Amino acid sequence: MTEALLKIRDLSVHFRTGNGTAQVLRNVSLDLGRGRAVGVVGESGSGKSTLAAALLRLLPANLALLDGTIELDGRNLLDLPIAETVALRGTRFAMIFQDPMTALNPVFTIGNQLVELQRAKRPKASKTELLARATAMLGRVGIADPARRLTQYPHEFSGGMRQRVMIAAALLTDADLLIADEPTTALDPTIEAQIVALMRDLHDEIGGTLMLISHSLGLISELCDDVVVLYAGKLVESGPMADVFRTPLHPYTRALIACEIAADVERGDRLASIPGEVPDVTRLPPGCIFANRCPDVIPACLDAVPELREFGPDRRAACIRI
Amino acid sequence: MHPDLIEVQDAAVAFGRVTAVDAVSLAIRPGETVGLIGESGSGKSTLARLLVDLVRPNAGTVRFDGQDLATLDRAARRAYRRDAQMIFQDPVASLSPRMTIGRALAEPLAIHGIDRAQAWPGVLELLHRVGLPETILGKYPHQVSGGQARRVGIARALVLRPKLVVADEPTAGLDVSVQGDLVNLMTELQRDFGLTYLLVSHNLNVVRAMADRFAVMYLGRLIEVGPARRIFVAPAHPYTRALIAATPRLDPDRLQAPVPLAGEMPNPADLPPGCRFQTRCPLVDDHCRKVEPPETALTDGRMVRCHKPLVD
Repeated sequence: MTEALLKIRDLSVHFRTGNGTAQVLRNVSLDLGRGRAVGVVGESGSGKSTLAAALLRLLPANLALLDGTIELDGRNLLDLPIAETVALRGTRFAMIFQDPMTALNPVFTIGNQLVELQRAKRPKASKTELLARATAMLGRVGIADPARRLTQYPHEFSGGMRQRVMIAAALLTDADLLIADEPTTALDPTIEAQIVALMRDLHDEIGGTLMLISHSLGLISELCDDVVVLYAGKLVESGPMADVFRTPLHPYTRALIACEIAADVERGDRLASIPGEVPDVTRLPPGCIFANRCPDVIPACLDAVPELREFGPDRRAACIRI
Repeated sequence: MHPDLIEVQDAAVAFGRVTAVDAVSLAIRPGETVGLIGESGSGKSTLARLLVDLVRPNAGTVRFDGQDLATLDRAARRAYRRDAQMIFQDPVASLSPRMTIGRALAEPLAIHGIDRAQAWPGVLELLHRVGLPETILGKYPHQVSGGQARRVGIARALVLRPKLVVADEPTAGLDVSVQGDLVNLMTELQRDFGLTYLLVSHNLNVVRAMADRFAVMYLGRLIEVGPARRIFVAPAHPYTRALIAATPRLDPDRLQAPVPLAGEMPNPADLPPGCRFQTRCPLVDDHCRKVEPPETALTDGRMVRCHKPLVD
């Protein structure tokens, strides 16, 4: 195992809602290895976006509990004053959002925005110097005529081009950790393939640690070294990507993989699904969170929340039936 | 009965300077499923709306059961609107937030002057058929799950017992764990009710599980039409090939390294002369930049619009 850039231990995040306290993340522990691309996969309500929000301290006002530790360079980020954690954004952590239009400011030129975001780390650099870096980075993410494009506004870019700008922006910060939350979901398939190829090339070339949040197993298999599977707020399985997808241990991971439509599917073939519904995290059932949908469930599964156990190097799963 | 349930011939739909659907011809036989594939701005949703009378063509004809829609009188157009229904992409947005699911299901009956008391047992049967409990009737759209909302959308489209159902991205935004159920349900309903489907999607995997034929659109033109299986195994148009290659697939061994397209789509309001795919096509040459390829029939009966098809 590579050295960890970020160590997350027993992270729990709860929110107050009209229906009671929603326990959106419960005792999640994982390491983000330095230089690794880590995929966080989960369906709606898995808590995957809350995990990213907790790292960036972008949690909404109805936060009821933020517990556990997030360790960076030996310091627990959850102990730091809020101003210090905010200062980590754009210096140690950078984020690529699903919809770049919400992350870019519509009233400033791309050039202006790409210069300003570098100031935190390079307060003494001249504007010319920062513009030159921005121009070079835009060229690197595949935007033609970058010097001219820098004078344009976000609305003058297509969806795919805006996502390239976001990637350039994230890379310009020289952050240690790049968090990408569904970075290609809003894109058309052929544009998505271009962005995926770009992200893979840049990760191979530049290194850095990437946390990719996605519901798409395909996307994660194309980009990631490690994978973490979340279900209704619990980490149910983690390990090297190829191992997890080739030999999944947890029944939820197996069920999720079975739902992928095979390359040789034909008209009329019955597709797999996972019967039942995700439990309401304001009213947690006792025992394993997947028990009500699990094909392998036994009475003991309802007695206690299963511990995350080790299965070989870097492989972990939380299921008593393995 | 006419051999084609619906037939679009040389149809064009323009919005200002953009011709969203440009000289498109497509026929769908009864009981068939055609998967209409394309990306944003291809015109696929406009073509879908053309089939259910939500937009009218600026040029060309749409025939339903052999009848030119432009010639229908009011009563005949009403009947056609019962026969051709649409399942919308976002069922919560397509339903009124202040109307219960029960009222939303009864509304099409009222619009078409059908006696509610008489038709209601059929509606309840349909509700069960799509896998929804009767308790859902008193709920509002925002109170049901994403998967349930899709089922409501399907039930509502089937209340009038249509012949043609146009489904716009029926599984977009759904979790994979419920996507399969919905596809299976639509396949069963097609068999049970003898439906003809036009399935609009950018998700090739879902379309493959349902379609007999594919129709691929790019910037207002149909660029390839033919049997789904043939097209998937051996696409003839370079764009179709790129679209198939771009479909994300669970591939832990990374056996296939997809080669993405380069280049950008031209502005739909200012198309270049020649082929519309020229700015992104790996096979483009001078001829492609000057002359737009015509619709050409391949030996297996497929239609392709390309000077250099990948299949004879």
